[in-house]
Amino acid sequence: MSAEREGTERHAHPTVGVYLRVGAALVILTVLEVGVFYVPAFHVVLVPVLLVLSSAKFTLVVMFYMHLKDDNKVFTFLLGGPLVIAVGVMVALLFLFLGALTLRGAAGAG
Amino acid sequence: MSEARGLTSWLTTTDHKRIGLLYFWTALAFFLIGGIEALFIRVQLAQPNGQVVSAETYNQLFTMHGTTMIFLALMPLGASFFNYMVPLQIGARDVAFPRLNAFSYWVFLFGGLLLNASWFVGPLFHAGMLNVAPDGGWFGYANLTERQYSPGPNIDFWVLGLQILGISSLAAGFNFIVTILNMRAPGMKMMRLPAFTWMTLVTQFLIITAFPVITVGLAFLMFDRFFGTHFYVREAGATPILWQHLFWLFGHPEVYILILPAMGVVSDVLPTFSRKPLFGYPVVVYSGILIGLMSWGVWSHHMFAVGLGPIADSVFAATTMLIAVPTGVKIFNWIATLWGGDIRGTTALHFAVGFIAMFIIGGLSGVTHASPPADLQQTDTYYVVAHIHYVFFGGTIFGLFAGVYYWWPKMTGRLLDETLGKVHFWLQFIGMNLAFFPMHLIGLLGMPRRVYTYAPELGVGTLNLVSTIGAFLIALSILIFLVNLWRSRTHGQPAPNDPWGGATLEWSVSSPPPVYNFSVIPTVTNRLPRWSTERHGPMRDPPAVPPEPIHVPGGSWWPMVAALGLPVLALAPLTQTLWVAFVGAALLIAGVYAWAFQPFEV
Repeated sequence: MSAEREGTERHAHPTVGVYLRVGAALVILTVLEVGVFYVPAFHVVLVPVLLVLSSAKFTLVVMFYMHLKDDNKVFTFLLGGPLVIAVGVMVALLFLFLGALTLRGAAGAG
Repeated sequence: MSEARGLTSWLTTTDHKRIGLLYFWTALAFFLIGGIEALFIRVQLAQPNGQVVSAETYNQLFTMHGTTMIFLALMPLGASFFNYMVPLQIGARDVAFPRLNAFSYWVFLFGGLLLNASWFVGPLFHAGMLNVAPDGGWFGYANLTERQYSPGPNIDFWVLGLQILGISSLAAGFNFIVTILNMRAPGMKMMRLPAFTWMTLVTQFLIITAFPVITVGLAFLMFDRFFGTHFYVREAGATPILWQHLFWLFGHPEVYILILPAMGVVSDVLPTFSRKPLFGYPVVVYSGILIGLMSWGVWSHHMFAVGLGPIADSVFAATTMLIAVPTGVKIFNWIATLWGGDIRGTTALHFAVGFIAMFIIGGLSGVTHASPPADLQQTDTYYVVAHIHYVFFGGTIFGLFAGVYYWWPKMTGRLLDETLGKVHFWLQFIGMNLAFFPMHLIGLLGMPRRVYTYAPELGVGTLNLVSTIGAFLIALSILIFLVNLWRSRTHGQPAPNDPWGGATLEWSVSSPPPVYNFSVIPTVTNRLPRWSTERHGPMRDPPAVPPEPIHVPGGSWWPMVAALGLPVLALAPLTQTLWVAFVGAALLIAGVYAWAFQPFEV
């Protein structure tokens, strides 16, 4: 048994009450996500607001239901590392697709 | 505790060692098939205006050669060593999920069979034999793969076959990550892992992050072909460039998925045969991790000819040149490992050193592609074919052969013949340079790749003939290797626990190891547990007889049944028959369900 695993097994799981409270928070966040769509004031910032709300839900799920909060930090790193790569790749693709025309036009070459 | 025998025991096995051997023999068979396809290609190109095969057959040959070698030969040959060696190297009794491991193998086998069945099932699709194999290149560029331009089932076989193979790779990837992180023996800290296991870990991370991208790309293509969507259809406002991004986002990490295991093998072989610890072990490990990370930032160098614009070209040129740095660091570390060592010129060492030399050539030609102006001259010419073969044949294949000669005694209990091994090495070394070096010149002289013939006026006839002679020399070398394998069954010298004086845990148990691997799980106190150094003495090997009974889980049919569901599911769109989909889904669900509820204690 590795040292990391020994460390992992010392952590207790959250109680059922915590899981239920997190579940309630997820429901509220989902209601907010649906709700902001119908509020005209939010339309100009709809995408950033939805991204923030989705990120909050994602964080809650991986922290509690995927146990990363109480698990060894190495697992947080193992999730976070590829996530950073994925976000980086998505940003690069956005630049390549949406910015290519502009950049090419500015440089006058293709 | 004793090992079961007979066909059933192999079909139901969940033992990582047997699964490793199954991977080895299956991948070797596909390697031979891919090699035969290559020989047909070379015979066709041996002289100008070749008439051996038609243009249509040629398209299928180069597509299946690339697809077979990458997905059915090189990746699973690496997986063979992951399976057999990683649990032994980390001091474990098996992988974390033995049944999932069996599932991965059977999915790989069935996916490979489905792909290769396309050679023979033409009559079922109202076409001739040799007419419905995939024919769009291993990269399957859109929009040539759309139904409009490829109406037959050729691309369907490719899409569905690759989707199935991706499932196998992903399942194995998660399995090995969990195994390496959680199943290590006491004291086996991460920085005490053998370099091969480290590179296996990095490779698995690349697999589980890169394969979802190709899965998405293939799913889009599948929807375009079967359900009339327009993900890559230009006329509908989409762009085929999306496919290129998705494919190369997977494709470049895939290059490192293929080369990192070979780098791991070489990093284990060189210290053993120079009787020196790996020079700069932490740097070699960190370089491997850095290569894995950086492999995510270079994909568009495959697309310079698309016209992405000067900024994108500059960024990807820079990242591509940068990735040569950790690779170069590794090369210098390997050379420094040999420097001043007590070198024994075994066949395994020949292949490891051959790997370094050939990979340097492949790496340098790769750096020339990193410059967009140069790349524009090289794109789609034989120069690129030369580069890819120096990397995959000179690199991956040489590295994996180093592993075969190194670990064969452990895997079978018999040593391979060293004389035959060296004949194999030199023939293969000369053959590959004859086959692939002229391709640099052929490409620079203007011969495009993927063309089935060429005019004599191009002036590349002699170079192509030399290349074909080299290909047959490689074939001869592989024949000698097969003779060596066959001969070792009866004439091979019985292998002791440690025929080479290795430092890592796999050499502490018998050859082949018992079904339970270690009679007592070892406690590791340093990175070279079986060597005596100035700081520590060698570990005591586990006793030959276990001091107490060891439970070994039995086999299971269900991983194979579940795996069988996938090719049956794939037959549904191929034959456009709905009920076949239900049969496939039923097999898959029943297999997974029965597997989940089958007691572990069988």
